[in-house]
Amino acid sequence: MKLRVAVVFLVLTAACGGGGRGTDKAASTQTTQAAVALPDDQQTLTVATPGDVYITRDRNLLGMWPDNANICETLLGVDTDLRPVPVLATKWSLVGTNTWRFELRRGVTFHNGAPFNAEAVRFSMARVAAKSLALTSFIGPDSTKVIDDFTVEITPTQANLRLPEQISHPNFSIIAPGTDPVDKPVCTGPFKFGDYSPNDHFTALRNDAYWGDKAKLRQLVFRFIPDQNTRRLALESGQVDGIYFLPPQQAAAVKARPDLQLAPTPPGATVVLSFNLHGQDPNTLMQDIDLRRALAWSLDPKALADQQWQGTAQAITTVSPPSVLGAAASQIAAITGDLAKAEALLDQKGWKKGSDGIREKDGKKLSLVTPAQFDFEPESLQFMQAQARRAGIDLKVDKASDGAAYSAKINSGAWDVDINYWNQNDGNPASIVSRLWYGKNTAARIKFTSAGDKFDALVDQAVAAPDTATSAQKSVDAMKVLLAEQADAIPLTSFPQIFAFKKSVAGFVAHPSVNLQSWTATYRTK
Amino acid sequence: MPARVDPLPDAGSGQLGRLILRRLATDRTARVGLALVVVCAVAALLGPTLAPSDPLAISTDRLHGPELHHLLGTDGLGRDLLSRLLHGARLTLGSATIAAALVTVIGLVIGTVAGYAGGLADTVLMRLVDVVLAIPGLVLALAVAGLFTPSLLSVMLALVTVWWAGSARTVRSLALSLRERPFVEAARATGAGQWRVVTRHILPGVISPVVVLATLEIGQLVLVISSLSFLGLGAPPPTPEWGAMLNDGRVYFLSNPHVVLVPGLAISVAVAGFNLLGDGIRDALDPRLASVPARPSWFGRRHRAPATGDGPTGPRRPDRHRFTRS
Amino acid sequence: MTRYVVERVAWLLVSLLSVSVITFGLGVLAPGDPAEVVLEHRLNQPPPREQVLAQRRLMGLDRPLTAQYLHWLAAASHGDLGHSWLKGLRVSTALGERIPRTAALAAAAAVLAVLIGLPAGILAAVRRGSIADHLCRVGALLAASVPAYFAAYVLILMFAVRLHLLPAFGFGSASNLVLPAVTLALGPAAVLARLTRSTVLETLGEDYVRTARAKGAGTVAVLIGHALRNAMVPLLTVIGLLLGHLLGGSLVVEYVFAWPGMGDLAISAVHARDYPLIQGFVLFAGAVYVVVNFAVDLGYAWLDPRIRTGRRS
Repeated sequence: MKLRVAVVFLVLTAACGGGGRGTDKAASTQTTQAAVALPDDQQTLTVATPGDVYITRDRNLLGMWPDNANICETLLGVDTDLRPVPVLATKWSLVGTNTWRFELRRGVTFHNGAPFNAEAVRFSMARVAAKSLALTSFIGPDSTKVIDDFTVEITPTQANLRLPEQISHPNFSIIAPGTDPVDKPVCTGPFKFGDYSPNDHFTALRNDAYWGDKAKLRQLVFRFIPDQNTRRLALESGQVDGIYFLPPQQAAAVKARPDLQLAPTPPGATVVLSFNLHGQDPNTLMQDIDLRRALAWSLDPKALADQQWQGTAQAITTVSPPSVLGAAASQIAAITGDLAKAEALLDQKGWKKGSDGIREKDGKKLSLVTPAQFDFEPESLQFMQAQARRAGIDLKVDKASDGAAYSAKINSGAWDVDINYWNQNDGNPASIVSRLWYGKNTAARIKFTSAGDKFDALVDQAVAAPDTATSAQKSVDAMKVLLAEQADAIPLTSFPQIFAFKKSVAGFVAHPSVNLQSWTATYRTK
Repeated sequence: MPARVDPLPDAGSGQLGRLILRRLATDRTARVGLALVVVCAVAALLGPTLAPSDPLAISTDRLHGPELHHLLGTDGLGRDLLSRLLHGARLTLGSATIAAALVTVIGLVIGTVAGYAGGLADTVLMRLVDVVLAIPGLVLALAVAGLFTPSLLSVMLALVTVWWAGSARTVRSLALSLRERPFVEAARATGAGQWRVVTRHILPGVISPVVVLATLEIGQLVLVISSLSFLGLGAPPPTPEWGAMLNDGRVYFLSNPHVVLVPGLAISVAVAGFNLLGDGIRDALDPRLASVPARPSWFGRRHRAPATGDGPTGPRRPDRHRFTRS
Repeated sequence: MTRYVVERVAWLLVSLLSVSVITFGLGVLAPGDPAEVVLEHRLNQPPPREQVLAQRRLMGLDRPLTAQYLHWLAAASHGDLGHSWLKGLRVSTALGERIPRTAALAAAAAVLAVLIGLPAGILAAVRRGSIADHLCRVGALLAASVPAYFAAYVLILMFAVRLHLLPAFGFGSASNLVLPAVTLALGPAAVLARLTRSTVLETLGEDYVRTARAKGAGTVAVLIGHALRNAMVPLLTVIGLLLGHLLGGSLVVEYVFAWPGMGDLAISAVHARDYPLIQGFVLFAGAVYVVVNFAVDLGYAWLDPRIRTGRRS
């Protein structure tokens, strides 16, 4: 009897200890602790995610992005405060003006047994350049030089001191030389590839030879369920153990259930409206700054945050989450939330309300083609629509069916206003400004959104700034041009992504950048 | 060849009206159907006037259950569900009615020409009908709706593109049977022109039953329109079309079921009303038709013309055979 | 019989051609220049004009429509339906992966519809005017009037969320199949029940059946010996019809239950205006519909000697 008590006590302490590691990081977002873990053969966790997102990038990011199965790793990671931390690189430093040197971790092997070394980094970075996965890092095909077996140097094609922050993105995953992740990613992570059935599921298995803390789960399964309602039903009926992206309106109801728990991320994504500034007829309305200003005044981010996000989101005046900009964020004034101003401006410019309440001028209706990202919360879209309509602006919202359809629409230029949410993937304060309006970015959308030379020059400075605080200040300066001077975008809210789990799931710590979510500490309890 | 079984009895409009009235007087379910259809019609005609508030106006009064201020409660954006339902009645039932009217007009023109003229015109037109009928209705409607940006208008266009064929086939069979009637033959014998025979003798006999049948199709059209809107191919948000309302409310299905139940029940009641009335009137038009799934409903074909056979007790065969080798 | 079969085969070919013409026509009417879409997908930005013209020539889009149609038809008859614009997959691969899933759902629904509709119809007819008859009629009315997506949510609420008996969504095990199959079966079951009821009633009223009964044959024997046999012909009619229900209904049902079948694929294709994929779906659905109706026609001949022997009135 005494022995049995002692065993139970030991197991309990072990379980608590296992969960304890996460507590230091982000206690508020942590799932339940202190329960007895299920035996290893039952450590399979099934999580419903919003649709098969791997297909749309030609499967180049299978298992990596945006649903990260922890199969692949990057040179550096990002902690929950969005600061760079070592992963496959142990040290990094700037050598010269624009060259970064990385010292690599020793004794790491890929899932296929091949050794991890400098050549693997060169191979992977060359692939990043070849497959246009480099984002705004300016990593070119010849940027990576092997110095010795465990040292590499990366020189971006133009000045970029944000590189260590950027390369934590799963796009920069290090892949075993000679392999192609399109069918089966072979990397170094705590999980390895299991199987993939397009539009149905993706399975990752624990890598028992992992160099770091081994995963507690034996198997991690992503089930692809595009419909948010079906996802929630799947959780409530017990078919899956957890779900991505619970709609905020459902948070209270789920939280009230005794068998379920919520795990919201810290607010890490922002809702930002962009304009088609360089469209062709008939998508030229947004070239008029007064119309852009009027639409901005007509929207009320506070009401959106309080009512539609049930207070889980916050109204913002910056396009990046304020947390990543530090004190500089408060320098930017709101350009939103004043209906009377919107109406006055439109009246003054000769836009008169018609019988249907929509304004028109010279026979042209103030009706705007508004594509929205496929997994954007639909009711919030109607909320914005209703707010704009009060000022006589008709947002014709066209919600895409999937990410590919959304990109195709935006890249075609046949739109006026774009509604999307943007993840702050890393600690780079210039991340969102350089992704969305920066003329030197080669992404197709920039052709329609680029905010001009003055803005670009400030982003250049933010990218080339020697330290994060300076970069934040320059990014804020760029935002002043973007928002107050030019009204080229409308920042609305910063919001958390809400994961929901069964109460029996423990050890999950929601990462502010959903792309970098870690699953190693997560496990199932009785 | 023995006399073709007339799909309808001598279809003078006066007699048709009397038949329907008699049916309504004796058949309780038909009366229930009529009552539901009348309620729907009133809602569609007066809805926007009766609606207590703006169906698009959002408020902070979210997700109220039914209460005095909001008789059917409010939805997730604080919009009054009764107002949305009443405005939606005009949109949903109205577009179904317009679609039914267009289908009937096209069906009348093509069916009469084919049935009366016969010959090459008949062959060509009926082949066209067969082509359209070779693909399941909703499948084709979905593909056609995809040609346009989502709107109620595009859904209506898609439905008309698909549905006219069934109507044309029914009209043709009616016109064929009328052509052989003594009074039509007499008119022809007296030297009446083609146009005169068609407008004076064929059309009057065809119009009333076809209009009645088309009215009864409205229930099915409501079902398909709301399905397409539910799938996001019809009325775009925030239009209070019933199917779109149901799609909007899905998020609250578990916590606040009234948001889904209100439009769901409205659609069901409207469709059931037309179905009940339809059964009754079909029985009145021809008791023999009562047993045929003249309205296979849902997403299959409608307007499957009355079954025929080699005699009163013969086996039923689908009309397809009857017309494919005329 | 031979003449009948030849006629039917000819009709089958005409119908298949019709389906192909409509499918091709959809592609022609589709908004957007296929060449431009393909290039845009490849370059990830709007392509320059000269490149579009070259691509149009490459894809044969500069040739007359009839030539394009024949070329398309030749490729389609080999199973080559082109590439999905957005997903880059071959249409035949994308469809091939989905077809078995939709087929499983449709087959389960068809079996359920027969298992529910046939006995219900017979019971209602034999016990005409009884409570069972009324229940059957009300049930059929409801099944024909309640939209599938609404019925689906009510079923999920009852059986998955409240009672925890069945999974709410998904694909894989047999239990996943139950709710979507039931939802999909409701409409066809209602049609079958109505039809069975009226056919059996009518047959029971026939002189020869009355005679048999007067001679002392039991209701069951009469049912099996005469009524059901006669009822088979109209029931066969419904099978073709039922397939229309299933193909159309699968669109809504797969969407609600996250069943990764053809309907699900078709809806996302329509949303994305991915016309090669939509064409593939229409062509497949149409071809199946036509072929099954052809089989049904042959079934008549087999069941009904008057057709087989060519005796015509």
